[in-house]
Amino acid sequence: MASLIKTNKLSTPGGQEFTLPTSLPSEQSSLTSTSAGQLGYGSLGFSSDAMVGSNFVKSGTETSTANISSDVMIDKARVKMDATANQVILSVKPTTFRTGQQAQNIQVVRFCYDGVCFNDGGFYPAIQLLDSSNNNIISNSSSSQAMRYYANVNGGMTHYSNDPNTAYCPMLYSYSYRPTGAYTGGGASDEIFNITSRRNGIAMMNGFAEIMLTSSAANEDDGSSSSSWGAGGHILIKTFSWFRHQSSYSNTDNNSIQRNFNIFSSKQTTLNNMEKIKFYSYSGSTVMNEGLFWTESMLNPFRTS
Amino acid sequence: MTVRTEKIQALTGSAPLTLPTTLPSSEKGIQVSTTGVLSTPSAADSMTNLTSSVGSVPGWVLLDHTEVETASPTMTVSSQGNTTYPAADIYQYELRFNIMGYYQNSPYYIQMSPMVDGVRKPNGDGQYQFGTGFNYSSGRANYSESGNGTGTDDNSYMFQTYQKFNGMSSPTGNTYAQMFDKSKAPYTTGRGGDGGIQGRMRYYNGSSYQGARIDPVGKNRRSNNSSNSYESVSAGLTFSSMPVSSNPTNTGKVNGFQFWCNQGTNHVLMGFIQLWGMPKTVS
Repeated sequence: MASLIKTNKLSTPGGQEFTLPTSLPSEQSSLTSTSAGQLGYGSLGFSSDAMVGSNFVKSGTETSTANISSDVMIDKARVKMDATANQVILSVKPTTFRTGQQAQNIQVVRFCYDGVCFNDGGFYPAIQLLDSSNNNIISNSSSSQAMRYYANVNGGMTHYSNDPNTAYCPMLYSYSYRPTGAYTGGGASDEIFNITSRRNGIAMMNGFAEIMLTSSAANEDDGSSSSSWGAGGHILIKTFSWFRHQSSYSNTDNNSIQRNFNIFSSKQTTLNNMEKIKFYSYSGSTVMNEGLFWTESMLNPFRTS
Repeated sequence: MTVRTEKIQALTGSAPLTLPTTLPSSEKGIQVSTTGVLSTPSAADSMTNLTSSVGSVPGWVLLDHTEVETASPTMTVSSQGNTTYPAADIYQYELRFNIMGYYQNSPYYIQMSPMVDGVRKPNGDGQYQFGTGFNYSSGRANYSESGNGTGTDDNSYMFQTYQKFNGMSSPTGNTYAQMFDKSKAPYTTGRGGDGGIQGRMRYYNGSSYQGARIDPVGKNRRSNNSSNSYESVSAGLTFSSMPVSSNPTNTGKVNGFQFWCNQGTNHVLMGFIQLWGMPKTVS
């Protein structure tokens, strides 16, 4: 019995050849192979942006050829003192799709933000849903096409509006974030995330927005009259957020506010596919000092347009 | 033809790989040691965090999970000792929980505090705190579930929420698994499964503010059951805490959370808590 065989390749009865590595790994590694059969070393374990089911999706008796997957971890961005930003745009589309999945399948997007800080007052937080060309997919405004409301639990108020101002539709916190003042430190070592002293309430806007894209081109009828809205799309958004609103311009004034904000928007023309989300200030101050933002998307293979 | 060998090596290199001598009991990934020994450990199948599709950076990390079957005075989750994801790298925590209390059929508060290396570190004093909840009878209500104290005693906490402790006789009433058994914790008799808090809580771990918020939190309740009926007091509870007029007392990065009831150690808790973290790393 040979204890050591030296060879360039291992051949299978099927004719496939695997080429051996010529060196040892520098640390415990997994054994990998290229499609050409070159054996090599990878990292231990594995990584994934989502859990994937062991079967294709089913709808009644209909079976898709697409994989089941959980919410996909899509994109992530950080704002800090040495990397401020006036807006954050994150992708909601996976870099690569699993078997049978495509961009049109994106149906539910969860956009999260935490520790967000603005460098002065007057920041009016808003989001926009963007297509691949950074166009706002809600491109016109009509009271018959949208309803939005928000509840200010702090003050016991509920507000209603049917005016989806496209400048900041679909989300707007009409209270501006209270003035914070920039942290005077500089550099990554003084990042707001790590400071341990009071800085007048900096870094304190937390929340999420969930966007449900029910259809990009559905025939709509309100059911109450003869007027059909025709082909159009539906979007449902719910947000939940904590921040301190601007009841005065005093740096020592603190008014915490919780906002639940929801919108149902319909559009008379086909919606472009949502591929990105933008977080920004629709007016006033535009610079953020701190914050972490990320997106997660759920793909429904039966949503194809 | 089968060629038996212990080692294989590329002609052009000097790195022999040593083959395993046994077959794995199920399909496994193959690992290679620095000396070239091939093995099939199950560790290759584990995944501790999601990785972002864009940029390939860490997403949610599962840091800890605890399940308390026989109710105890405290419930704790912690990432203490985690060197891959130390507290200073966790930007936000998420707690997922279902916590039930056992003592008697009356409502009490459950308190919570963040922890640093196993020690409670609430910032309950000198901060701006605010909590809101929804009351079933009025629809919504302002709440003042503010924190209290900065110490390690039971009356120092970052957050508290009202819940009903179930009053079933021990051991049924203080055994979590039996709360899922209809024959032992029925809806119509006894008080099985009632009381408790459930939901998700998120916690910003930066700037020493330890600001926090809770996604809408559902709250268990029982209703329409004569004397055992009990209406919930609050749901959708949320809070924040931030320094206003003074610096926070506790400034360390948090790596754990503990829940308890300040009515004494006979008010015990059971259920589960999962601790997730979102690392600050971006590409």
